[in-house]
Amino acid sequence: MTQLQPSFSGKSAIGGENNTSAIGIAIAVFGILTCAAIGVFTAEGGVLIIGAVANNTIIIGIATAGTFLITGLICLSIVGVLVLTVGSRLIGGGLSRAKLEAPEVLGPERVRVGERFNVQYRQAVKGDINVTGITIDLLLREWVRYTSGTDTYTDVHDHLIKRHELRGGLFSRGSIIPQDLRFEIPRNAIHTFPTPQMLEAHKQSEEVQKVMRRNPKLAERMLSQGTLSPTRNNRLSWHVHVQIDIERWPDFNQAFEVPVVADLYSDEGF
Amino acid sequence: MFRNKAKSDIRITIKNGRTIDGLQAFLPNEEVRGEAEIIPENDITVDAIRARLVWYTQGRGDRDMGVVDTVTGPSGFLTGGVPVRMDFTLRLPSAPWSYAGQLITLVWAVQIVVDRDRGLDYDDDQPIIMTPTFETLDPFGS
Repeated sequence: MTQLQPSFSGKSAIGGENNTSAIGIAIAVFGILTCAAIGVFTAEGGVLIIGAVANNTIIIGIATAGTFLITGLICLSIVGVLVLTVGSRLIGGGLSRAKLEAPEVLGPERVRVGERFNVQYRQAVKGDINVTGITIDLLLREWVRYTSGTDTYTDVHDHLIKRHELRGGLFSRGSIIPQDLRFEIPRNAIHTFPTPQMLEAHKQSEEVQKVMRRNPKLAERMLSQGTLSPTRNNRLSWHVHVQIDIERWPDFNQAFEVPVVADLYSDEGF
Repeated sequence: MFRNKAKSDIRITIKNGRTIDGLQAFLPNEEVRGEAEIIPENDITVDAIRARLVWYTQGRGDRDMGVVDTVTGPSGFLTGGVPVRMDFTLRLPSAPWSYAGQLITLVWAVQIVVDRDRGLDYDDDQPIIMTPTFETLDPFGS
């Protein structure tokens, strides 16, 4: 058993959309309401709406107030959306980590296609929490990069292979959330792509050697970042994805990569 | 991917393997044996005719590809309308396996390239399948 490496955090892309946490929504709503209030009461004409009902200048006042109101709404709506998207990941993720230590996830160093394997999950609790549910998934992630015009985009699709839905409970500070799980890579599935052998062989290719001769440091950096990979635009990877739902607190989400080798499991071993 | 750029008729026949979904399927590390017939429309001079074993991706992402084995065949003057035949034996590696997913499809193919001394090369390819199980390539029903 070896420590599995964290791969991505946040909810997986099953179903093609990411949800936001309740705290993110609450902050965004608060932001929008605050912005509306500021928009009305800092506007010069805002006072006119309240006080100058019989005055001809009321129309100008309402128009001015409206402009300020709309501007304020737009500005703080943008802030709200930012909070929704970034906040749910960073703030929410950070908050969930305020209650939970980084998990220790032990799994196999490598798995063959068709092979069963065990995952040992241990996570220490920092503060008293009520865990309403724990979901641990085995996922095959398709990751692609594509260009449209001069812009580059990425997209992912997660295939849910196996889901363990586990009961939570009350955990006090200092306790451990323990889970021992068993998964299986289906026999008709695919290995991790690219394979380590493909990456190693690609280092000897003319493309890489050319960059190496020109700028060895740049070549090393590009190799480590995957931009000199033979599969720089298409990747397949296996992950154990953990989601811990905590009552009145942001969820904990983290995936851990499981390397799957291009070898079909048989009883004869590697 | 490799569309015939016309001006030459290329026929590729794979002689071994098993058939899945109308394509020849092979185990990793197996040999792919076959024959190519090239009928140039006009007289041309070629540096070489090459049979290549390639993999490439299809789908949402930009294409990745790799050439894993190459056999070089006849070169020189080819008379228009006169068929040229070339046998090939190519060796598959252990990976990547063929795959059909939601965003990514991994395709293997035997590619014939007519490498002209001037002008555009001609090429065509015959997709094959490489899988260790000979089962469906879409295990997730996507």
